[in-house]
Amino acid sequence: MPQITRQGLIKKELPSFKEMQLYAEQVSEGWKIGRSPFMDAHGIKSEREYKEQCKKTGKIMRHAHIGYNSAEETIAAIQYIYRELQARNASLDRFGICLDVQMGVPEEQRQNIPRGAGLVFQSEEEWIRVAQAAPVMVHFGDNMIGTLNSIENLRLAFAAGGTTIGNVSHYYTYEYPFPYDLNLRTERMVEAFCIMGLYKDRGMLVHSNLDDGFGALFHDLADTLGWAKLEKHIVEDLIGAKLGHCFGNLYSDPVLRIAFSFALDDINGHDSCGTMIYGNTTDFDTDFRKNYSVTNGYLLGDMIGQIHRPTGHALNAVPVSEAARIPSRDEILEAQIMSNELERYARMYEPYMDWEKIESCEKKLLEGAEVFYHNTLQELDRIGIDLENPAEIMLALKRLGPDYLERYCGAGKVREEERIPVWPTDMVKKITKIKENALRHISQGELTGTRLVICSTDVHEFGKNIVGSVLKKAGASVHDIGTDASPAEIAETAIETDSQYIVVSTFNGVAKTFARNLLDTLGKYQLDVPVFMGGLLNENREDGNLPVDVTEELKQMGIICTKKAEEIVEIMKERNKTARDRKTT
Amino acid sequence: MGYTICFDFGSTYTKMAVLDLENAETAVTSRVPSTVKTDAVQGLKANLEIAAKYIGEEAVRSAHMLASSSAAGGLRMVVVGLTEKYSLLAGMNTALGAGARVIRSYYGILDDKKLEEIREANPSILLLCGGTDEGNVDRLWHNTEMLAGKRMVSCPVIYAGNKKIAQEVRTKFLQSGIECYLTDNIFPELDCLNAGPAQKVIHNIFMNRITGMRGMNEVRKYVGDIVMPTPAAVLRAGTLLAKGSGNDETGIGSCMLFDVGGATTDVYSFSDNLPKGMKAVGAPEPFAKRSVEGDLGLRSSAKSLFENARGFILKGHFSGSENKVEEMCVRRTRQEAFLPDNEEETALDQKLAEAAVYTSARRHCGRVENAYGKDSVLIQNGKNLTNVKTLIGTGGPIIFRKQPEKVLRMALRKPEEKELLLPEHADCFVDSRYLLFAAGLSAEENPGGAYQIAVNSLKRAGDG
Repeated sequence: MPQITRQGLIKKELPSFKEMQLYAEQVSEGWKIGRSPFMDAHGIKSEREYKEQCKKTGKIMRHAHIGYNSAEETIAAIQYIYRELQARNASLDRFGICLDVQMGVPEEQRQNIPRGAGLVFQSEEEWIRVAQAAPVMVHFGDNMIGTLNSIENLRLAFAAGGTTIGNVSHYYTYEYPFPYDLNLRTERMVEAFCIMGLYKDRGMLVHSNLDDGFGALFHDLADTLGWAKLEKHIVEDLIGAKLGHCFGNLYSDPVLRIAFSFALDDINGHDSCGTMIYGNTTDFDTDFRKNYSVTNGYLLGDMIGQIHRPTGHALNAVPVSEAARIPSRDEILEAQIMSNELERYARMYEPYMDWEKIESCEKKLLEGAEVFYHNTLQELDRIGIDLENPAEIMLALKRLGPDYLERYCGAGKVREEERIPVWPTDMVKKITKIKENALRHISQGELTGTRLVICSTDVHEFGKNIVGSVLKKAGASVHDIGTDASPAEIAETAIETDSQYIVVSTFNGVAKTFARNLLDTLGKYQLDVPVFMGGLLNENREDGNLPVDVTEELKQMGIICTKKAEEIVEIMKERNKTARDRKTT
Repeated sequence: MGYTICFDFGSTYTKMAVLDLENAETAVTSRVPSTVKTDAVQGLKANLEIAAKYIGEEAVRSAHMLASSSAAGGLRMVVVGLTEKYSLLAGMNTALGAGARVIRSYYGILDDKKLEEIREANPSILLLCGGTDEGNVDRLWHNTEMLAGKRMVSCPVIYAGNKKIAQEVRTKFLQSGIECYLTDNIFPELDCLNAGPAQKVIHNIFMNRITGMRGMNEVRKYVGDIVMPTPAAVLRAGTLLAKGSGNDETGIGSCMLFDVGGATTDVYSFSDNLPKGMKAVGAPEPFAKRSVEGDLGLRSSAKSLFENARGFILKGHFSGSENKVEEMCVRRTRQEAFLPDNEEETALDQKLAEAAVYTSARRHCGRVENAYGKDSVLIQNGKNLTNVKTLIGTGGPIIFRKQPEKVLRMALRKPEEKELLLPEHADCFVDSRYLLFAAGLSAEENPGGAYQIAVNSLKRAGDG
């Protein structure tokens, strides 16, 4: 076990929690609290109040995510979707807007960070206009609290009439491409949560999407649930705000989704006020026809769960195009119509579910979660972290990281130095299955003597690891330079290792730009090496905000585009053979 | 009781330390003006006479003698690798860690222009490296053919690249009448730096061929071989200080050492390259790393130091007097033996020493940089020194300053320099008796005694 010290985690002392509370009181004095048309329409003062009503009446709440990069387009989409649903007598209760990463940075520092595909508000007025575009409640989840701009964003969200505001998870996993003061970021985030606590009676609800933070990086769902309990302890017990969790992106099994939402409710002492259950996007691919069944499949389960035991979560019908690009407003509308139609079938199924089985799954998750929760607090205590200071706890957890926490505090039993998950996440199951399938088709030694560089352009390494395993099994010398690779790093590695191929996995919507830069760089290094690319081969068009598939353009550039590891082996075998034949002639 | 007498044959002074390693005591240290350019044995004898006064002639005769040399710029090397971030970085760390001064470095494919530069540089040794084992061959062979075929080097070549073509490379050089020594690949795999074997070969060549001294044969009769360049001895001492001798001492932990001279500033760091929570790019960094800044010095390099750190030097006391300060620096460059004779000149020497440490520390350390791509991703480029706890100064320009602590503290990272992987806080010490080279030389003989002698030489640096 590594020798972690308090000094190693808390390099500079943080202010006391009392000081942060005082600052929160002072800075938020006189803040304006806006009122949205949704509140007026339902005679409520917050979404939380509405959620409590829904829990009592058994109403299913619905959520839509809207990800355009201009306020005007966002407003138009909200109004259009609302209008169309009204005309069909269908409902949508809330919408989440995807603020750009730039919004998480104070205005004076925004030149340090490239603008992404999300929305950047240009004025306070735009916040209000978007939030109040239609009688649908706004949800501020992305790039808000937990960033470098926690307090200012919170002030603007309050003024716009937002009452569910996140995101605890972002603090742990979102980073910035320039140096900044992590202590100050932590301090301001905790102060923002304190302000949410000060306004708890007005219905303010802190949002945390488990799939945005360490929750998605654990291999064991029991640890993720334990992490949720830890977040609740920090936000509710220590800070005094109300926390609502979101999950679902990475959960494929509909029954497990139900069990997890029940287990979350247990953790909350049956007083859950979840924000939303996100759609299962791990089963999505670029075949939209297939994605219809994915959306309906998970949504049916989520509805049955909410009918049986409401937890306040709104349900998110994900448009079928989400894995390929930012969905159009008609695609969002289509998903919401499906969701509304599906409800009556869900109500028919609900009485016939085997709840005992689901509850035993819930129990197993809960037991594991307790272990993780207690082990983590114990470990923090052992290190000497002040367990009364939420900022110190969060900073320590961020620096320890998910690998450490899972390895040394995880719920699963240790076997041969590895922790066996109590309940492996879908991602782990899926990766294992894909890998096993791919390996089954490969004969050992097919690529003996072949040298290659493999990498990914972003933080995702599952795809890279699968392909790497397959190529290794085939006998190739695989030089893995990991994630976030740069073209120069790839070229230099290819030179040193005399690699014959470069294999790039990409998921961050930069496929075309990266390919162009890589080919330019290879040219500068006088390297003529075939490049394979796989993953999500898309990119934003300069004139629009919908990422589009760029496979054909990549092919024209000479990139070999492929989705399957087995296919890469076949192509390499063929090319090796051609090269050998050319040599002999 | 036997003594160990250590010598450092430098260009300015020939230094001596008489050590009682068993009792971890230093009997005497001395320095006499160097005679290495005329007859090194004169400086040696003058020192030995001083030693005899303290420990007696018989003890001097029976003492074990060890010597290092930094004369004539020490060991001048050219390094040729295949890529900047991998084999060249590995080659630079190997050469600098062996105590060499890298006068030129190249990566990629050598062309006629580069060959001409190498010929003009006239190095003592050329280190040719690149390619992991089973890796690149054709670019290496191209560079070999260029160097050997055109006979542009007259110095020995050390080949420390892909082992697959090692024999062919050696044959090619030998056929061209160029000495070539083979050693293990310094960069056999992507995540491996194997500097040790190549450094042994460098020392061996240095010991037998390069000392930059006249009267070497006579010197050998007294002290045996010059076992290593002085910076290599300092690297050993630093490693010993940081890690301890392996007996009861655990060492002082991660540290940095600054040796500011008239012509160069040497920076040493002794620390594991701990990950900073982000991806580290390039060949692995060594525990004991050295860099040499040939343009940062207080005398012959004073003008280039001024040009490099103009803004820093002209802050505070010297603000508004740019021309005057520049002239003062030029005078230092012209007169290597210049001694300050008034308060203003003394103040400038202090400022120049601070500038040398400030600039060299920032060149030595790693940095946090923005990775390629749209996502907000940081990478670590170079060595992470944020966990360094101790800064040590050695060499006259730091030790004899009135405010050595102020000089050393220039290495610390300022709050706004968040991209630098330097420490924010550290304790400052000076090698008060100039004993680190001696501790390094005698580390093999008696590590416990050498460690204690090095520790005893450290005195907390005053701030005036």
